Amino acid sequence: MPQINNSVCEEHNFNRLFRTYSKSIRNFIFYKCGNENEANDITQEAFIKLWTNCKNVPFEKAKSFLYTVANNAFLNTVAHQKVVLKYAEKQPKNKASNETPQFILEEQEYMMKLQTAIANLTEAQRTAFLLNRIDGKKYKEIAEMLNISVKAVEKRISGALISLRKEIENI
Amino acid sequence: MNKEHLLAKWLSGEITPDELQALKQLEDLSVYEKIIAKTALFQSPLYNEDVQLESLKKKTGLTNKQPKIKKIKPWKAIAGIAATIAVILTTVLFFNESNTVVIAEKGKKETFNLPDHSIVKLNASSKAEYSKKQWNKRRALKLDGEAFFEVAHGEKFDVITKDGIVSVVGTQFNVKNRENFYEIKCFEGIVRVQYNDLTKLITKGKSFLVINGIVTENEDHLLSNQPDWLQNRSKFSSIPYQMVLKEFERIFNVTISANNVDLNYHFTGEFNHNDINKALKTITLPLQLQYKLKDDKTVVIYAD
Repeated sequence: MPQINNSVCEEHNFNRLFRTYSKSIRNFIFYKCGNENEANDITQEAFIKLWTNCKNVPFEKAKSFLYTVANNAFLNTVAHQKVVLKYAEKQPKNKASNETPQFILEEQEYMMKLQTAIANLTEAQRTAFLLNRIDGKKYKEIAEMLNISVKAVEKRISGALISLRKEIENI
Repeated sequence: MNKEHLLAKWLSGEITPDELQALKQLEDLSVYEKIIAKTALFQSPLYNEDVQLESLKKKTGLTNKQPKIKKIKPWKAIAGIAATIAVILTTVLFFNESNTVVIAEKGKKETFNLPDHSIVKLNASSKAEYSKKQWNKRRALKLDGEAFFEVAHGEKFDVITKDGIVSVVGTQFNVKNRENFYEIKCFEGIVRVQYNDLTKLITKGKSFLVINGIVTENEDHLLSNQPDWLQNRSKFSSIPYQMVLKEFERIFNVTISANNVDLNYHFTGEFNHNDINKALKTITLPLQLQYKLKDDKTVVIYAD
C-alpha cells in the first residue's frame, strides 16, 4: 500500500486511531473506575484532546498520548465506584444438562465471590489483571499502556491472583 | 526464581517444564486454574466504536463531512431491501472486473494476504473472491465456504456470503457458510452480522449460528484464539449429523454414503484432520455405527 499522509489531522487517520484504540482505552479506564459512562466520556475527551492537538502529535505517538491523557483525566475525577463486572450466565441451551442443582448453585456463589474479590483488588492490580484476562492484552502491551516495566506488570498480575485466592478462600 | 515471577510466566504460558515443576512444589495450581477459568466469564460493558465515534463527532462538530458510518435504521423492511440492493450493487460493482480468486480444493487449506496485509485462511472446499484494484476504496470479499480472517486495523471490512454480510473493523473472526448453515464466530473485537433483515453485533467469544433458517446466538467462551479447523480439528456442538458428514467429505476429500443412519441426529463431538481412520472412529463409535473405507476415496457408514 502506498504510504500516504498519516497526519492525525486527517479525518481518515483519526477515525482509524479511534477504531483501533478507543475500546482498549475505555476498558482500561473502566477497570480503574468502575463507571461505564465515565469511562466512555474520558475516552471521548482523550480523543477530542488528540484532535485539537493533532498538529503536534505524530501518528506513532498518538497511542501513548491517548493513554496518558485518559489516565490523567481519570486521576482528576473524584468519585470512583466499585468495579463490578457482569458475567454471562451459563446458557442451558436445549441440551440435557448433567449438572445437579447444588453444583449450579455453588458455581453461582463462586462467581459472586470472585466478583467481590476482583472489586476489592487494588486499582493497579485489577487494571493489569483484567486487561490481561478479559481484553487478552500481553504483558508487554500492558506495560506500554501503564508506562511501567514488564516485570512490574508480572508482579501486579501475580499479586492479583494471590489476593483473589486469599479472598475467595476466606469468605 | 520467586513465586510471583513463576506464576506470571505460568499464566502467560511461557513457563518451562522445570519452572513448572518448581511452581507446583510451591502452589496448588488447580485453585488458580479455577480463578482464571471463571474470570474469563466476566465481560467488560458492551462497546461499539461506530456509535461512540459518531457521538463524539456530533458533540464537538469535529467535521462538516458526513461520517462514513452507516446508521442502523430501525425500519426493518427498508433495511432488508437496502441490504439486498447493497448485495446486488457490491456484486455488480466490485466483483465483475478482473477479480482475484483464491480456491482451497477439497482436502486442502489455503492461506493468503489481502492488499492491506489482512490474513485470510480458507478451509477445505472454499472460495474467496475480491478486487485488488478496488481494495483501497472498499475492503470487501466474497466468500463461499469457510474462512478465518485476521483483519488489519483500519476502515470497515466486509465479508459477503450468500446468506448475509459480516462487517468488521480490525478484528479476528471465522465465517462458515455451507448449505443451510451460516455461522460467524468472533475471536477478537466486535463484528456486525446482517442476516436477512436482522442485524446483530457479535462480540469476542460469541457466535451467531443459523441452521436451516433457525437463528441461535451462543456464548461460546472460546478458549482458543483460533477456530478449531486451523488446529486440524473439526468440532461440533449439537449439529445435524448430515452436516458433520459433509464437513468430513470436504476435509478428507472423500465421498460418504450412509446406510440406515439417522442423518438428523444432533451430533456433539469432534474429529481430527490428521488420520482418516481415527477420525472415522470418532464420528461413528459414539453413535454405535460401523464404517468401511474403500480405496481412500469412498466411505460407507452403516448401522448393524
